[in-house]
Amino acid sequence: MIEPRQFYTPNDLPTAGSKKRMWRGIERGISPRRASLLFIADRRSFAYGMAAMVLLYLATVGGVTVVKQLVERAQPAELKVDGAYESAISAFERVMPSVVATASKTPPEPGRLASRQEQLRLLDAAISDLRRQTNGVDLSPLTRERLRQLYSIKLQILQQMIEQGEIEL
Amino acid sequence: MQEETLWISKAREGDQKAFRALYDLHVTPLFRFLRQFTSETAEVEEWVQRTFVKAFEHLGSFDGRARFSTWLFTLGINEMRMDRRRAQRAPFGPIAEEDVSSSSIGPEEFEWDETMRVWMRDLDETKRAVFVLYEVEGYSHAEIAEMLGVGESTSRTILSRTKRYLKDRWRNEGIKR
Repeated sequence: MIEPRQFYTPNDLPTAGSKKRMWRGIERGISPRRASLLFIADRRSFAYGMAAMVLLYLATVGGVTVVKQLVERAQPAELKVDGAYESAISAFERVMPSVVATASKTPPEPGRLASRQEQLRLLDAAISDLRRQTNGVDLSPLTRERLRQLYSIKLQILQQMIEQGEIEL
Repeated sequence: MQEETLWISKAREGDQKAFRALYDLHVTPLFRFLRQFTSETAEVEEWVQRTFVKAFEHLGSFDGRARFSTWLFTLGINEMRMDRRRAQRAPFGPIAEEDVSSSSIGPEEFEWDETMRVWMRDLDETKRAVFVLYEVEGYSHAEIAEMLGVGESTSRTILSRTKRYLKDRWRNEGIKR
């Protein structure tokens, strides 16, 4: 074994200036690394946050769907029928051209048309009133029967208007 | 040693002061060792800087099974080798297997003489590295083998051949001086 002091010459050893210079270079080299570590940590927690958010969203959607299905299953049959009836009328109204808009373009009997328009307007108002009153929870058989009648009358009027060419399809 | 372990664990967490303490402890041995392979001070400084930056970046991979200095020297030697490859200078690598069969020379048969310093420059870098690491820096053959990527027995043989070479040359030329 040779003593380092015996082996190395002063020229082999770093001077104080050399040590300082090297440390400055090292500091420059490791500082961005620290920032980058910090950035990676931030990015990782951001990714975790995003993943947690997605999971939370999916869990919420799942929960809402399950609750909705449970509520729908718990609905009485009458309410389900009412709902279906309302949906059917709404769908029908959507595909029908607006009676008011088309009636003016289709004379020949302006008096009868005006009368039908008035009937429809009154029927719509009555249906709206009843819907508002029931607010989707009133299951009174009388109210349901009344609503069905109104829908039925409205459909009959619309049917007559189509058959007699008073509405352009 | 315990202090060093503490600095390492703090430096791993990004503590620059702890890393500075490690630098202060190891910069001189690393510098003087690498200095044996170039006459350019700037080149040694460059290797040392890169070695410490790499050490900081890869502290997580240091498992503590070897000494920290062994790990650091391995990084330093790799930095030097990389530069050697880039500059296409003399190779600094493991010696061929056929070279690893030589008569050995016992520790009692070798004595360092100042004149041998000059002949050290004539040795290839692997021989020079093994000699300095074992005889001057006090690393074991197992540690040297890890640093240089050679077998432990290869390290022993290289050392033995190097010492024989220096001794023979000293007998032939040194005594005349």
